[in-house]
Amino acid sequence: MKAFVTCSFFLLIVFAGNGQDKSNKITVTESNCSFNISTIANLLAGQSTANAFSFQVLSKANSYHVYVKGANSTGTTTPIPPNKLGVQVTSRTGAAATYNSSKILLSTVDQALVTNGSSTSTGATFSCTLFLEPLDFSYVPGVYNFVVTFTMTQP
Amino acid sequence: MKSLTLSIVFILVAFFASAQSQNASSNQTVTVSLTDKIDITNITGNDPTLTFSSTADYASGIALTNASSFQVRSNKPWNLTVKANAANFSGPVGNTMPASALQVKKNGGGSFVGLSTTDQTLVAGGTRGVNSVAVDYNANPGFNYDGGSYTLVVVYTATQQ
Repeated sequence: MKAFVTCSFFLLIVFAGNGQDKSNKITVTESNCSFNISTIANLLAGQSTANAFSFQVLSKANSYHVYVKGANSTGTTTPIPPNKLGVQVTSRTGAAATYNSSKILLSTVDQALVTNGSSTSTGATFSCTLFLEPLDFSYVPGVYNFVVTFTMTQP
Repeated sequence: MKSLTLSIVFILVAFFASAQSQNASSNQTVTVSLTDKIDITNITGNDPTLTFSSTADYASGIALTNASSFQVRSNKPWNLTVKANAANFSGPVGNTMPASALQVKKNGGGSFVGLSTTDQTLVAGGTRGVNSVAVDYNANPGFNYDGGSYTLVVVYTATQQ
């Protein structure tokens, strides 16, 4: 009986350790995530910044997914909706993963950027282009801040 | 046997805990800075001409509705003013026709005002966005000037409030 109890304790340690190994991490690194709209041409045309940011995923579980969503801007009385911003994954380095290479206009609902990412302890890094759709003359001059949220999930 | 069952429960609990999916998230702040912007464009395409061909025209004057249209684009409320760029028309030598011989008003509203070199308001509190404004002219020089061509540059100014 004593031997069995010892054995059970050992298994608990092993499984608990396995759970910690599956912990996830996603890190966003900004390069240039600001748009300064100072001309009428800027208001009328969409803007984009290549390699505006990248995000790195660490996962020891296979088939992870990465989603993105936005929210209304803050900072002024009339918010700009999140669908005025777009994100496009343009490249990947590191472990294999399938990513959506189309421009995604943000919404308040998660949209998939990466699917079926392979487990990686050294990380997979995805570079992104940031888009600003034409704002026309619909919004009050001022500074608008958007929070864009990237979420990684494991199956 | 009781101890065996307890141990199995412990193992199962630990295993299921390790098998639960885990999420991680990270936020990114994007900043958009908008500066004040306004412009005005004459979308009519040509300059209006008022032709006096009968004595009735000289007696009553000539009105020209929707003579010119302007597009005002602004991201703030705006005003539109009008003035003449000179006190008098350019015309035949010896004839000094004042700018006030030409009157203007916003199409669909307001009253005619005689032009001068001072700005007069045509639109107050125009709304943010893309707007069109048409204007009407009325010229009534009377019989006081020689026949010929008289020209005047009319200046429209859109200003954000």
